[in-house]
Order: sequence, then structure tokens, then C-alpha cells
Amino acid sequence: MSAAVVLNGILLGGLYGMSAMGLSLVFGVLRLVNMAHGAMLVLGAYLAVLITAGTPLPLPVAGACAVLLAGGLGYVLQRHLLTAMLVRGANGPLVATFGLSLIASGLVALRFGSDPVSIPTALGTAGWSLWGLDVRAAYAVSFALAGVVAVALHLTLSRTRLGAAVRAAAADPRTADLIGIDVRTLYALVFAVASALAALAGLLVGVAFSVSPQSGTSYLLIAMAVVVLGGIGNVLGTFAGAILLGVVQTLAAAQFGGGYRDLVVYILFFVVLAVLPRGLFGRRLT
Amino acid sequence: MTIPLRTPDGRWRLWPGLALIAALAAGAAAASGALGRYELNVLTTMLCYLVLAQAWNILAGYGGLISLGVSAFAGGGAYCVALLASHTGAGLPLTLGAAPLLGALAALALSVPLLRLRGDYFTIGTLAAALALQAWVYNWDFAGGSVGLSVPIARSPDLAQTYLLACGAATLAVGAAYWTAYSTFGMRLRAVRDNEEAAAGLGVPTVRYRLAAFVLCGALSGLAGGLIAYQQIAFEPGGMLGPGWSINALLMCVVGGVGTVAGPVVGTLVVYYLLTTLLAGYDAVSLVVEGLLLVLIVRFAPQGIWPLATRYAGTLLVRMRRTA
Repeated sequence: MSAAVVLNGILLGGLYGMSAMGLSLVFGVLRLVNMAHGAMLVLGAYLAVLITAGTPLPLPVAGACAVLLAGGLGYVLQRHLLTAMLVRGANGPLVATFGLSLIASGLVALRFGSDPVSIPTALGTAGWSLWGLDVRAAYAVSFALAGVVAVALHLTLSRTRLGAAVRAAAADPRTADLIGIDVRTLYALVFAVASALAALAGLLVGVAFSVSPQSGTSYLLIAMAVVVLGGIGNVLGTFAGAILLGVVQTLAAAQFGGGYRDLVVYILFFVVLAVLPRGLFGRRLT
Repeated sequence: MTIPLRTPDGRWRLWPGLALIAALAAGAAAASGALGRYELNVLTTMLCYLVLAQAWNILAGYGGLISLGVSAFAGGGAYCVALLASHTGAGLPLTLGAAPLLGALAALALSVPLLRLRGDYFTIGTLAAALALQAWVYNWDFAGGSVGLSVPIARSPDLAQTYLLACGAATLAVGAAYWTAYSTFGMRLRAVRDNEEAAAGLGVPTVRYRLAAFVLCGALSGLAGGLIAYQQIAFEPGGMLGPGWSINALLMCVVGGVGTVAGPVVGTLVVYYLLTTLLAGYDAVSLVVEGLLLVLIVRFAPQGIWPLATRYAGTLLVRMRRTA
């Protein structure tokens, strides 16, 4: 029984890793705390619902459309709104992204009401037996997807020219600009990728659980706790931190009851900040 | 004989401004007899918002630390008042004294994980604290759980008394912001905000100044929360510990002008009018409007409307003198 709980926790950690990777990337490269990350996640799920309801597209295609739309929205927001604020100081973008998150949750509430919505698929309710233990199919799929994305992101950042440019812009944007890296476009690209990842995580959340206009904040906090655990800008560390959080949360929920699920996240967040302010795995951009 | 309004080195003295604030407060308090129930209620709510906004302003405007945990302090103060009043039978002075004390202690406790790190962590950490308190209270049957609490009506002040108390609290908050703006404490706090290394190099104990601002903000927010508890009488964790207080305090300061004394006052008037009279009952629309307002102000008028208005008035005055 308890082995199944731990396994489900590990797999849930994959979902959390997916939720946190974009936040970690933006925090690490742009030095921007994106308060709209949770809202983007929720928006991704609602966009998929909207597209499947309005068009005859099958869910995977609709989901891909939602992810692409979120990425495009992220690109435009960063290119035309946030970069100009970043130049002027750190608190402006923080307040602006908070404003964006309010707009997003308000718009979603206007269109869908404030009740939770889930994306109906067979995957959401299916369960599999892995090594004789019962696991939720949605968790397993999320875990596999998140693993693939984390490795791909890690390899892109560490092995490609684009990744080298991103790391240069993260380390010193002015010098990177001087040696011919288009930092503004790069920032927009990073934010677009982060938004797309958030939307993908939102899709998975919508399939595995449900989303409501207010659930953005709770996923923002989960992602933030994961980032703090894993070390900022450290993609593989983020993934490891997410798995740890998933396990701790699942165990706590099994032990004390579901009402304490979120409380565990917040308490863990404070404990890590107080004891290990650099995270479990240290800060580095892969 | 001229009244010495400035110090010998040319800075404004503190007392004329404080006297002006006290005079305004006395005027507002004297008007309580002439006001009806509706006006008293609206004004009390507004004054409580003003206290929260000024507390937020001291921390963010002068200390450079953006808090999204206003509800942890305000809600904490409210729950403190309600629990004390209903379980110990404590009277008004004791409960209203305990609320700011609780806020200050909460700030002190939160500063351990949050204040040693970058400002970003502070923002997220205060949000986490607010959500943690809400999640905890939902599960805490002694504090009413999800149903909430109520203050015993027999021991609560009536509307006019609550209004007078709110006047007092607002005076305290505006006075504290004014003092922060023009005292040595505030000057050092701003130095820490603008350049921590330089301030530390000049001998300012940076962490202690940030901590002082945070504790002051926590105490004022707790006091406001206590007053809100007496005004609302019954409340539940969804509203009292929800993100609304943080959103409003931030919005009022950002709209009016962060880091000015008059800005949050103007912001409170504008935002409160906008949100309560124009958008009452449209929760989703008001969220969108609040968000849009934040983004637009930060993008096009990052200093807020009060500094913008004073600067515009200043240029106008200069031009009129030239043409005259």
C-alpha cells in the first residue's frame, strides 16, 4: 500500500516538475519572478477545453494548439511588455506579471464561471499496474512527458549554440548583447518556451485533476517550492526537487488527510528557505 | 517671529506634517455625528484599506520589499480579535492591542526564512505564508474551520465607535508613513532599498532596517485586521484570509504612487470608488480591471498618479508664472 503511495508520489512529482520547469527557466535566465506562471498553466487547460468544444479537433491536436497559443502569447508579452520593464528594475515586472495573472483568472472566470473544470479523456480515470502496484495512468504519462522535456531542455541548454547563447544572456545580458546575441529576442523566446511548458503542465493537470480560475496561485506556489528545492535555473535539479515534493505531499496526504495537501507544500517551502536557501542541488544554469 | 519649519540644514521638520495629519484626523472624527449608517460603514472600510495600503507602502515603497501576504497579517489580526473576544471575554483595548502585536510577531517569525534572501523570495514567501495560514485555518476547527468566526456583538463597538477607531488607526498609519518618508530611519531604509552594498558600507545594518519595516508593516496590518473584524462581526476564511487584501493594498499603492505619503491615500480613494461602487457584484470583471490597471500603471506611469499629478501641476505653475 505504502509502496504504491510512494510510486504515485514520484509520478505526481513528474507533473510538478513540468509545472516548475518554465518558472525555473525564466527565473534563472531573465531574473524575473513570473507571478503569472500559475495563471498561464490554468489558461493552457482552459484553452484546450475551449478548442475541443469549439472545433472538431481531437484532444491531442487541441492540446498542441493550446500549448502553441500559450507560447505565442508568452513571446508577445515578453517582447512588447516585460523586457522594457526588466531594464528599469526588478519590481516592475513582478507587479506587472501579478497584474497579468489577475487578468487571466478574471477572463477565465468570466467565460467559464468559477467552478472547477476537467478535461474529459479516458486517460484521466484509467489506472495501470506497474510492478504489481496500482498507479494512475495520467500520472505515469505526465512523468514520462516531463522526463523527456527535462532531458531535452537540459541538452538544449548545455549542448547547443542556442543554449550557449541563453546561458550567456543569463550570466551577463550586457556583454551578451555586445558580442552579438539578440538578448531581447532570446528573452522572448525563453519566456515563450516557459509559457508553452506551463500550458502543457496545465493540460496534464486538467486531465489528472481539474482546474479552476483560482487554482493558478496554488500551482504557482507548488512550482515555486519546487524551484526553491531544486535550485534556480537548474533543470535536472528542478525535476529532482519536484519528485521529492510529490512524494512528501502524497505521503502527508495519506497520513493526515487530503486537507493538508497544500499546507505541506508551504511548510516545506519555508523549511527549505530557512535551512537550505540555495536549494538541495545548488544554483547553476545546467 | 517665523516658525522654524525647516532644520538648519534645509530639510523639512517632521512636526508640521504630523500636525496636519492629526488635524485632518480630528476633523474626520468630529464629523462622525453627522454621518449616517451607510456613510460610516463605507468610510470605516475605506480607512481600514488606507491603513493596509500605508503599511504596504512603508514596506514596499521605502523598504523595496513587495509583500503578497497582507491577508496573513490582516486576517491574523482579525482572527486574534475574534478568538480573544469570544473565548477569554477580553475587552476592546486588550483585543485591539493584541492584534498589532500578533502582526509584529508574525513578521518577526517570517523574517527568519525570508529576509536573508533576495527580494523575490520575500514576495513569494509572503504569498506562501498567506496561503498557508488560510489552508491551516480551513482545517482548524477551534477557529471555526471553513465556516468562520464571529465577534460577540455585545462586546463590539458600535458603528460610530468603530469609525473613530479607524480614524485613529489611519492617523497612526499615515503618520508612520510620513515619519518613514522624512526621518533618518526612512532615509536609511531607502538607502538599503536602492543600494544594499553601499548602505552596508556606510554602516547601516541592512537586515535590521528591513526587519523594522517588515515588523511595522505587520503591526499596522494586524491592527487594521482587528478593526475589520469588529466591523464585519462575522467572517469566514475564504474572504478574510484570501488574496483580496493583498491585491487591494498593492493596487492602491501602485495606482496612487508607491513610496509617497499622499499616493496611497489617493490610490485608496480611486481604487475603492472604482471597485466598490462601479464594479460591485462583478467579481470577475473587477479582477480583470484590477489586473489591467496594474499592468498599465507599471508600464506607462510606474511612479503612480500622485507624483505624476504633482509634477504636472508644478510644470503648469512654472509656465503660468513665466507667462504672467
